[in-house]
Amino acid sequence: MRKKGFTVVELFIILGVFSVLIAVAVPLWEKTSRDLQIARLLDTAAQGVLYVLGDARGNSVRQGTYVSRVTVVTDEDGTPTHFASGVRKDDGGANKFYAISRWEIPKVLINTLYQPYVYDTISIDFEPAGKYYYIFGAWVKEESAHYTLLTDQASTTIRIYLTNQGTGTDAPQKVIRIVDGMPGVID
Amino acid sequence: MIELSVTIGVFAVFMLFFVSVFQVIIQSIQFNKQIAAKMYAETQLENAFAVIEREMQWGGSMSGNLARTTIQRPDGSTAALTAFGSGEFGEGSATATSDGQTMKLKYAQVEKGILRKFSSYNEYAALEWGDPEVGTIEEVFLDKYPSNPAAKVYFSYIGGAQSLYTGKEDYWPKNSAATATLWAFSVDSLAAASTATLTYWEPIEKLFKTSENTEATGLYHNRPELSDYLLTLAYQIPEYPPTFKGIDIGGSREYFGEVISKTTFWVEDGSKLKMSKYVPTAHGTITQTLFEPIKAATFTIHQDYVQLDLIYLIPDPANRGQNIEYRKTRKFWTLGAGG
Repeated sequence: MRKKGFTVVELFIILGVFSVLIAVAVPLWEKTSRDLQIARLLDTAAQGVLYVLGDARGNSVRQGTYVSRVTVVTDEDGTPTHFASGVRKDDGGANKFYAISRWEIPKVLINTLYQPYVYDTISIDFEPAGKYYYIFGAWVKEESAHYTLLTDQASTTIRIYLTNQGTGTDAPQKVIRIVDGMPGVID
Repeated sequence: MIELSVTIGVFAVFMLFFVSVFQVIIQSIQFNKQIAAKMYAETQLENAFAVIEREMQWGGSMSGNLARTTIQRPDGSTAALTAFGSGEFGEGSATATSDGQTMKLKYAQVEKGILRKFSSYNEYAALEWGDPEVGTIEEVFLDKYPSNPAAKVYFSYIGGAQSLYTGKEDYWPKNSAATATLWAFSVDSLAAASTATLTYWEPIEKLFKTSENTEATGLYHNRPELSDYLLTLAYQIPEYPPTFKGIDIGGSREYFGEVISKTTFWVEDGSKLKMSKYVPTAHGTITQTLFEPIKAATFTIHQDYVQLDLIYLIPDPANRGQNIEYRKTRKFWTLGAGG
């Protein structure tokens, strides 16, 4: 007479099925969790950049700050520390940048099940490269002898990405495109 | 059979749990996307409001003068500055709308505004820094900034007959020349709208001095009249030194930031809030998008404020191709320059 209940083989089969499911679910869970953290980080970064751009545009119709430069501020080692807007003024014969509003680039740390996933920093690039300003509410690029008004379809891309020892633009990123003076987030 | 049923049951519960968890995650991702999109839009919208608000602050400044001012072209011809006239704005008003879809605003933001461009800056005299010898502006620049590529100095003014002079100008009264009245505004443009008082100065009796004062990117006349007014060179562009850079707004026209403009906000195709600035000294218009996408916007002008009612859109992450609508209303004070 056969006893009621699972046999050892059946138990192992069930455990095997569960193991497979867990083996699939856990990495998927971790990836989802990590992606969520990265997305939140990039959203925050995009929000910070948008805030600075907005403030620069607002200041550019205000006396004294008509020429509002938008730039990445670095420390002495060249590591980006802030995304900032401000004006450049003469200071004892030297051109000095005075930041009016700034967003501090945070340390990038992503917690996962196994180990923290650390990027070096958040990089912010202008494409095409150059010096950009809001002047009198308009988005312009500095040229050698004048500012070029970037209007209609002339666009500038601000790429925000996590860098980890040269992962470059393959890394998770967020893109802000300024078209006709209006910044918009492109996923 | 029982064991199979139990196994299937446990498996079903597990799958239900598994699917539910991922459903929650997906909904969470969609909700996060929606919140992020709304935050982006709100940031941009506040930015747009800040621009409108700051433009409105100047509304009415020099309104009366602008309505009466004529414009003088480089060839000597003159014309009424119709873009700022009472026909478009109404007598005494600095704002105008049409069907609530467009709001126009005129002002000259002019505590320091001088409204004329000169191209031949080496025509007039200047003091060298720390040196009483008289030199030309060009010499001073070259001495102080040998690598300065600036080739021109621009500024502008409203003339004695309330004409707005523009374009290239070789003329400058030298010390031996007859007087040429320069007009400079001396009003507080934040004050309530009123006809500004113009003061004037005869350059033959004064010497220019280029100043390194950080708040003065331009020319002062010499003391003791220093506090009377300020001639601003390449207005408020803090690229000085080393270069002055105008904005090319089409053709060879260059806008150096003379703060006199007719600013227009309007709804384009029911989807964009646009802003343009007509600059008479460059006879050009800068047009850019202030905010998009919107569904509708309406300007309503009141005596003391302008109200903007706006419906803006953000993409609905749960329904591709569809948008979520949000409404926003904001009042902008006009300091009495409204309708």
